[in-house]
Amino acid sequence: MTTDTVKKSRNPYGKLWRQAPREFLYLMLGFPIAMTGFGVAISLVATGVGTLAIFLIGFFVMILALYVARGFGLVHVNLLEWTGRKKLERPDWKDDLAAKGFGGWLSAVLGNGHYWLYLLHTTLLGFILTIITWTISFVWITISLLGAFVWFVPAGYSLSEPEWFLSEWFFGLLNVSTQGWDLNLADNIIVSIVSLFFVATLPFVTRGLVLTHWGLARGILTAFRSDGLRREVESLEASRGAALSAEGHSLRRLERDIHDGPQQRLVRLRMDLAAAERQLDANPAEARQLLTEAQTQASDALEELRALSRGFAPPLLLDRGLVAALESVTSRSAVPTTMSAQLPEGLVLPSEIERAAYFVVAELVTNVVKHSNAANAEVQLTVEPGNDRDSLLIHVSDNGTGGALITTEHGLAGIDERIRGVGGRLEINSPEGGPTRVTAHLPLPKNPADRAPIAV
Amino acid sequence: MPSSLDRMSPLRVAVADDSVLLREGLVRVLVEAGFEVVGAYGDADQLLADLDNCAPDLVVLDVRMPPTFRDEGVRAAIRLRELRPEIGILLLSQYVEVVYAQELLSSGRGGVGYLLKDRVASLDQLRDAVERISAGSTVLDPEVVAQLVGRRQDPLVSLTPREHEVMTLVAEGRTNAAIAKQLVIGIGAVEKNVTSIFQKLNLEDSGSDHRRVLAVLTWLQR
Repeated sequence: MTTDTVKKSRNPYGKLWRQAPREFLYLMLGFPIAMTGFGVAISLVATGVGTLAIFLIGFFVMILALYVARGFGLVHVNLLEWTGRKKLERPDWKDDLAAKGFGGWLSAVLGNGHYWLYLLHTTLLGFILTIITWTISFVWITISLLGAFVWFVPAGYSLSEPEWFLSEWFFGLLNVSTQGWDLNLADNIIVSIVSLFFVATLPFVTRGLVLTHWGLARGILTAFRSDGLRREVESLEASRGAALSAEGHSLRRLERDIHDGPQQRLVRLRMDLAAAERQLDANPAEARQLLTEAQTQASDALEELRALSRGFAPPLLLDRGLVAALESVTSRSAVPTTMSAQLPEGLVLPSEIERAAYFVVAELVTNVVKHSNAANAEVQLTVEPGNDRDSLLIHVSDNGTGGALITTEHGLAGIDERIRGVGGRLEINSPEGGPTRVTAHLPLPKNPADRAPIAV
Repeated sequence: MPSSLDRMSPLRVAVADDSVLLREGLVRVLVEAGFEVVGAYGDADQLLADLDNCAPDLVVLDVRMPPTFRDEGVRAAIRLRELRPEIGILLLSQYVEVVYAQELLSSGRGGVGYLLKDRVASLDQLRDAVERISAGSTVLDPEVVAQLVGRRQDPLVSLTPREHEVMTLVAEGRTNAAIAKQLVIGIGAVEKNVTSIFQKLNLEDSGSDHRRVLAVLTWLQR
């Protein structure tokens, strides 16, 4: 039994059959949908063109037609994917641009080739192809079913006058006498044989027709290569902006901290030392007092510099790497926190990702202590494989009261900015009443070997 | 410990620090404190290679040294413990990491210390640390202890403020006498506090200073 099913699943013909019902349903359903889409879109286009010259309203009717085409086109694409075909990349509808005022909306719709291609598909190419494929599949299924059907037709029932027999005609062509045959039975047998052939080839036909549709859809209903580029450029600009602003903030803070702290102390230290030198001979007691003060200034300056450098690059992170540094952070937390890292052997993280990951976890762990009232927390590090590039995944969860939002008060906004600075994203799942689960995705650099060649 | 046996001859100390400025400063302070500096090296490997030649009683190691400037000093200290457990070790650094203190103490023997570099500017502090280490004690920087105590605030609430002070000093490796002197209280009072702390923390007060430090640290790290 088991071997039988295994064999079946390896059998390509059986595999073809398993997809056939969906494909057939798609080919059948496609017709009424395409008809409706064609009817609505064509009448809108006609109305739009007709009223264009007279009223400006024609414009909006045209836009409505484009939206209708988009809707029907997407239904078509989704149905295609449902039949088991490869995913098609959705176009960039520039909805973000359309949301920016009236002018943006007009240019996002009318100036977007995708809308016009979808309209072309709905009103012409897709529609015609659907009629053809629907007809073929309808005929095919009819003949396939005929073989079973003919056995239930009462003998002697005939549509033609005088009675005409398929077998008589067929064997007549072959010069075989049909004298004394049961021509009804012979007809039924011939029809059944032909019908069996159609049944056997049905899955090939449905697959072929679906592939034709898929090819057309891939040609005109998918994203342009430039869409992907536009999106990448936008996200790069956004992440660069966030990085610059985060870097800028940090630098300004560093400058101010150095100025207010160690720099002041060193100035004071020089003053004390110079004063001590002046007093050395005349007033040794005074000089000693000044030197003691100078020592205090010097050690305070050191203390402050240490705190500053720890804030920018924790020593353990530089010495031992991310996992060791995070273990130290989590073990220090007042809320008992477990830490687990499942990272591939020999993974080398870029230093900016390491630093971002470190501060994100440190900040989140601090948040748990400050806001969550949790009894336990958990930090997990994993690598999430992506088809384009892998990501470092950081989960921080606690069993506290929840309700965390990206607001400045919880410091989550700063974390978000930091993550976007390295091109990553932050997910927060924190219902009121808890628990809270925060996930940070930090993209890792593409492996040069895996980098796809750039097609122009 | 050899040093406590022949108190007559000065303690032999070797130094490894890649910064010439600090290395010279250290040597000067050590000499001034009455120790014999038998070697000064730019990295840990040179020191370990020259060990038989210079035969130190105690070595002073910087944490970050060539070639990678990461934790060479810590790793050299651990190797030194395996090779020559009788040699005292004083680890110095611009910053302190609890993780390194744990690793240094994990050998289970005394005679180790981990201090911020700032501390050694004071002649008295350096001399005190070196002498305590060579006597088999453990010397931990107050900042390490502060980091450890800081992470376990809640459960320590049950300690009285005085007990808290005493426990911090125990963790730094002070003897009861030293604690009494620092807090300006009687040795009897210190002993009473220590007993009370160890009872509250469910620990056994085992005689030697190092074991006491370990007990407190182990509890703090739980």
